[in-house]
Amino acid sequence: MTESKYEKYIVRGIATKESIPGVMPSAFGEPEGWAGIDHRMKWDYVSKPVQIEEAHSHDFEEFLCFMGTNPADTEEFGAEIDVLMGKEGEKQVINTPTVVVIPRGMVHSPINFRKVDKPVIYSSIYMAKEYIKSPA
Amino acid sequence: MMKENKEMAESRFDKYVLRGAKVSIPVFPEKALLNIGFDQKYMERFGKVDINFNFVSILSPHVLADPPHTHNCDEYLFFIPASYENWPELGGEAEIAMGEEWEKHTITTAAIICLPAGVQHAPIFMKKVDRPFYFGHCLLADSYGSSQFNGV
Repeated sequence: MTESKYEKYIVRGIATKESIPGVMPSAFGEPEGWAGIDHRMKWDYVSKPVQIEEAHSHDFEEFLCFMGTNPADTEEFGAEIDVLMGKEGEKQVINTPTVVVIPRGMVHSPINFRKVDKPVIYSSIYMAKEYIKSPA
Repeated sequence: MMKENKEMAESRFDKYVLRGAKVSIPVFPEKALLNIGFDQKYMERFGKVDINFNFVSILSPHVLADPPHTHNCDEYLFFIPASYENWPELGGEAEIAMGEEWEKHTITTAAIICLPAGVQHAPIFMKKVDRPFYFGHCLLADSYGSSQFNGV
């Protein structure tokens, strides 16, 4: 068998367990590896009402992506999610597929999956190797 | 203290919440659908960020339109199973050609393909789709076209 030159560029999914009830993590997002590139993503499948994260900020941009789990219907979204924004905790209600932009330094979270009729995918795309939080 | 955005005359944060955000890229009708995405068209709200990304539904087998190419900045491609039930199985099979030698790689699970600037990639063949899944890219340029896409 010829040695592969490019397999090191591929991060393949591994078996994972619920991190908290109702949240199945992809387990992507490790700081090391990724063929040396400097941006990351990870995602969770959320199937039950649950609140995640505490208010925090970080020194890199982040994009919170919310989508349904039916690729054949891109509008289907069976959840209501409260995302708290800013130091004042302004509530933004997410009930459609949405991208929430978090600039550097902007306080955000918690994220409350208040109603989950159908599982949704919550993905974080972030412009850093390592997800290092600062307190709110 | 928490405030309801609906009750406020003007929200400081509405501009950061892109409901139904979509970026137009060519996809084959009935074989793929555009989901959420982000690029420079949203940046006038909060300033330039060197990133664009897109989530696409893959519904049936086809070869993506992109010819073999490189970018002058880093990118990753992602394969996301639609459900967790058979994790990490993708629900299909994709083949991607990597490098100038078109080294073939087969993807059958959730996966991220890391592409440092200058690493040639594509074509990408969505070979088998048992259950529709999500595919996408995330490139460190404010739009796909601004990354000096170099077709081969």
